[in-house]
Amino acid sequence: MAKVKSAVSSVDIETWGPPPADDDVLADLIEALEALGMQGAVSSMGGIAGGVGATFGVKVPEGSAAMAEAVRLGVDAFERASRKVGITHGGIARVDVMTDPYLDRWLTREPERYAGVTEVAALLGVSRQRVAELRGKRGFPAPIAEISAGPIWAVSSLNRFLETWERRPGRPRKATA
Amino acid sequence: MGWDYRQVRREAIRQGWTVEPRKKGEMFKSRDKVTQVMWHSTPSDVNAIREFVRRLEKGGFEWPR
Repeated sequence: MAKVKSAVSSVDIETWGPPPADDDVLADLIEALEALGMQGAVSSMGGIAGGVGATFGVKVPEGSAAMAEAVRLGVDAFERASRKVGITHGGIARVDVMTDPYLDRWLTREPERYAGVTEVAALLGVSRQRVAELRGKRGFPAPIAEISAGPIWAVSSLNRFLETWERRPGRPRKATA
Repeated sequence: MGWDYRQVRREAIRQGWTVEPRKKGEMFKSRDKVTQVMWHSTPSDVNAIREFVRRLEKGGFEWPR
């Protein structure tokens, strides 16, 4: 019989609150998840939804249905473990799955950097005035925010623009009669 | 990724997280106290540190890269 390859996916679950009164149950939740075969479990509470959450690795057969299977197994294990340690919640608020290679990239990604007009001008090698002109050009990224000091861009969006920007050096020629 | 729990713990404290002892591990509280993450003192898997950092990042932690 052919052996089915399996891979580990990282499942992250958040639930609606309120958080438990005794936070020692979070350690019990980790133990309960690991007793069910979940790997490297970490638990938490609070965040946007306010309830208990957990992040752990789940082993699933490789293939197109791997992500759906990771969600199914992960949510099932979380609910069983929660019941076992007496955690109640107001429903699952969010489930997020990453494959193992993606988790590696996610954790080692470059943090976003931000730039104002002066930094954008330096990045593009143009004057501040030219930046103002470029803002009207199709394809130039929109700033992520406008603050009293001026617009702010995400550098990653400017880098994408730079990859496709057809720069025309020099001033435009004067029209001759 | 050569992460080590002590390194992550030190960096979290530097970023304003508070770390409180619990019966079976340590509780990390974000600067605004909205997010709390539990680290079990005897993780069963070496990959627990990656799941831990992923969880902390949701609370605003940034691993210096």
